[in-house]
Amino acid sequence: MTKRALWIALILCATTSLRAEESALTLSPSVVNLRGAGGASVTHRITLTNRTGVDASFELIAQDVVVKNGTREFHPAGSTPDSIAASATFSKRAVTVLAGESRSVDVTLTLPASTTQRAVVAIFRGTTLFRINGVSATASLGTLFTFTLTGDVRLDCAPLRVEPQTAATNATIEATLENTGSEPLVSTGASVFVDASGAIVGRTQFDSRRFLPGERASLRSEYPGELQPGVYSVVATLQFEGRSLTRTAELVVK
Amino acid sequence: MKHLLAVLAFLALAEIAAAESLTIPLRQSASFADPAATAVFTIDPGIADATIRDGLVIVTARALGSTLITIIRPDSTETIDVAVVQPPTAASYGFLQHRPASTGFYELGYESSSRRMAHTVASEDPERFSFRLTAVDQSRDEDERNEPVVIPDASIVLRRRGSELTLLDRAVAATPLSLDGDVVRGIHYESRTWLLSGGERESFRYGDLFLSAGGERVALASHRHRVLGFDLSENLMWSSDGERHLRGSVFGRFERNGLAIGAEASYDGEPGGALGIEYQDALNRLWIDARHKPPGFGSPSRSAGSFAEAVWNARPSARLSTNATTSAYRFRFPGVSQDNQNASVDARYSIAANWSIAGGASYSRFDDRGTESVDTFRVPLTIEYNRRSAGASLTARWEESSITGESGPGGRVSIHGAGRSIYASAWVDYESAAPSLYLILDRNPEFANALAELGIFPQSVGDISRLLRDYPGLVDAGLIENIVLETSLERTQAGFDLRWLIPASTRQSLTLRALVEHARRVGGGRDSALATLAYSRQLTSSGAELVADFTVRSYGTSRSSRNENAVAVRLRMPVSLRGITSSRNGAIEGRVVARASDGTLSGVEGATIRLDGTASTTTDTRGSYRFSGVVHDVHRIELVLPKNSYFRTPSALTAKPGEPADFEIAYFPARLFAHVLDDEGQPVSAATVTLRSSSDAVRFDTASDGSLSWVGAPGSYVVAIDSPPSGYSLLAGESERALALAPNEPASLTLRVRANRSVSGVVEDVTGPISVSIVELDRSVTTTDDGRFAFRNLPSGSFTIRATFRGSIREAMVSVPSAPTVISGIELK
Repeated sequence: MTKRALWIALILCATTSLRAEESALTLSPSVVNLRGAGGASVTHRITLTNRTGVDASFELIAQDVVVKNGTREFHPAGSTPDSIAASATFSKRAVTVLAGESRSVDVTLTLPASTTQRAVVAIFRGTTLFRINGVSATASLGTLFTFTLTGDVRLDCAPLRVEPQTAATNATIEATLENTGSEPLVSTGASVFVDASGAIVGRTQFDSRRFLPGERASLRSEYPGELQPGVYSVVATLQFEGRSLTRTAELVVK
Repeated sequence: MKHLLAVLAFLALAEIAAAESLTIPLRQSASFADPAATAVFTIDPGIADATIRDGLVIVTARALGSTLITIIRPDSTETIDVAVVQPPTAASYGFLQHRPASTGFYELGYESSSRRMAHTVASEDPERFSFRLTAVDQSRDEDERNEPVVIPDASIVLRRRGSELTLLDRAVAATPLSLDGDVVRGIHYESRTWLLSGGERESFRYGDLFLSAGGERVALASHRHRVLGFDLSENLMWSSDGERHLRGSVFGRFERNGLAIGAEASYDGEPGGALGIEYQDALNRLWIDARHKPPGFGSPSRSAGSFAEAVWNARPSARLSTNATTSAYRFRFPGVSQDNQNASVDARYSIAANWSIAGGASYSRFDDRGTESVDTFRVPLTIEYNRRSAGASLTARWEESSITGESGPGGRVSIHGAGRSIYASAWVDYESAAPSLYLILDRNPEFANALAELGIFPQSVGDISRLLRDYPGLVDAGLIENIVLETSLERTQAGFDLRWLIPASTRQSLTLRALVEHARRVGGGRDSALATLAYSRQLTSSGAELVADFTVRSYGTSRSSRNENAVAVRLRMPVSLRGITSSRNGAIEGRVVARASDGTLSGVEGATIRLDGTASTTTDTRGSYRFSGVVHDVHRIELVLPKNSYFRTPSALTAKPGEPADFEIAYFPARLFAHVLDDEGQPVSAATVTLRSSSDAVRFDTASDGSLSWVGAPGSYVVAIDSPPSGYSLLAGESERALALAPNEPASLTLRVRANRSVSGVVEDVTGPISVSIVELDRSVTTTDDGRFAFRNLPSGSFTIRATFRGSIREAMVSVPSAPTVISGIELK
């Protein structure tokens, strides 16, 4: 049987983990938000826990997270100007985490004074093969570090796209957001349906989403309730880094 | 007074609106008026929830964090930041949190009206040690004698691993049944589970006011823990004021799904207890508070009483809100003994955008246990127009009082307006039967001011009842001497309030307030007027802070008048008190080294080191540095990052004198990412590339994708393909590059070679040279005498080889791949 190695980089999940047959590799923390100034360093401890039942070996690397055309790209350390990943210093170059145990590694990152990059990921790159659903794979897990240096936090929101409910689908609200500032931000939000009398008849929540500078994405939420025929105002408020923006749209339910 | 309370409440609400942010302690609520709002929602209801009732936006803090509320009005929306913060730890019985002092400072305050001078010096280290010393020198006008009173307040707090020991003064709360904020002078210990306190009651503290407490000896012990979702605490108190008392109580609190229940049981020779229930959902809020306080419980006096209150708010529809309140009090204090009952219902209906009507009925009974009794019944009806910038209301009342036995009309007209920095309101109120309750207070004006600072403006039966319930120590101290009922046959009041916050860095504000009153009583009438003009500004803004308040107050009646001019000055300056806690000096020294790629370490010369952000020095040739004469305390040492380097250790360290403070850096290398491609852009593997500097040369072979990368010292280099790989040939000008490589600025380049592709063959039967061509490329060659031909340097593709011989065309098709290729043996027959 031909063995095929797969890279699985579960890097930006809320909980970084690899699950296989009731067992898991977990890395904590999954995201670290840092605030400071260029030219300073930060040392952070990241801990990998192995509950797979198999000893697992990893090597430690860092990659720069760069946004191009609104989406994230991962670049090898030093391959971009003013690379943050190039400064990554790990307390261990490689670790073996025995089954059922945890190992911690300290990573020191220096933010170049003039860099426009704001994110780097520290990766436990797996060198041990696991079998997942009959396929051999190595598992890599990463911790995302984001850096905030200035107060230039801006978020643009395109006009809301609101779709009324149908026989087969719920009413949906979609907000397309773009981080037009120079700092990372986390956006959360909620929206409500307001009837003609001004009362709130329904509410939906937008999932929390992290935006690196230049990153663009759409937040979408569904309202599972039944809206009576009528004209509604949809009011959506998005919160990010202590700021907010509100968008409204009209929805007609026939 | 009631109207003044309303005006102050309006000003507070206006300030909330202007700030566009709310800070609410956990599990508490804040509210502000927004009559135009039709709905409100929060981004994260788990942190704070919001609802609208009766024209009020009510925000309830549920969990620590921050979120937003969005207020929806018919013609606009508004978003307000909400921060939920940790409340003071006073909820744990036994201790109130001491007033914090974030850094060392000295503060001097002076008020000319009371000739009160207060000095405070304090230092705060949240982890280890803090102290505070306050001395208040105030002249109390007692029996026309100006006797200076100096009240010291001193505390020394030692902290370690979640526990702290306080020596001397500390504010101590007993139980919900006593509620006194006594300051006990003695020794206090607090950990996560135990609270212990012993000493003498030194004073009551109300705001900045200290009142003597009589020197009763007290000892308190409290143990707190959590069982089955209940927060429990058991408290034992012992006191001796000539007569010994031993008091015990148990307190528990439970909270889940909008329901919060707190209960206390106590015994002090007589059982006592308290019960608080609060329930809240999207449309309803119910609040019940009932207490029975046995004589003298938690208080040096024999004060006692039973108290009960219930409040129900409901919102049956989006436009309608209703409220119902009832309360009953029975007091047994020395010199004060009375029964009070209050009940009211009201409803508010939003009839259109910005317009609403409200109406209801209220009843109150005041019974001074046989000497005085009065029943009051009121039915008001109000119509309001309200916007954020301006509003007006008109109220008509029907009033009846058992004192006069008559009923009659009353009413009120009020207007208000708010701009960006100006707030103003005015009102006129008329009552035809106007019984009012007044507290006879001690003549010390400071006490009245302190009550105002606490938000207490007692006027109605309910106001006074709550004051007596929550602050029995004021009665104990003799500061509330009695309660009297004043009855006017007719009373007309008018007021005006203006506040201007001058937008400047000096925080200037100008406040003008005026109140006129005409009252007609059985024995005649009285006219009075009160006007206050106050101006405040910050005189300095850097380092020391000096703030001055100037007040001109004029008060007159039909018989006399009085003018007062007052000035209050507050000076606060930061003071470094480090020397008090640490007297020994020493040196902090260390080394800055750079790690090379081979792992060797070398000292970094000329690196800048900073101490506490103030002093700095540079490293010597070995990379060593030293700060001498440093106070024996924890200091912050920072390395300014040398150019083109990065940290391998933290960029800032904390250390005491004698502890090492070393830094390690590494210099960014230069990086080269190169590709070798053929003439058609295909990667060329195994090509040998030489990177040559003035002193050295390294060689690499390209990978299968034609790439190579190199990391090394910055400098000028020549990158070249010295010898082409098999099947390729050099391309002039594209096989060599000169470039400068800089640290952390990756360079990329592409070198090109030509893939050798050839096609050869023979044209049969020829006896001399003829022409052979590739039709698609329009290229031709001449054969040898025996008909052999060859094409070289061909691109990839499918081609037609053609020869014309003896009038006939001979052709062959050939396919040339992109890889280096030698195709031979083509026969043109």
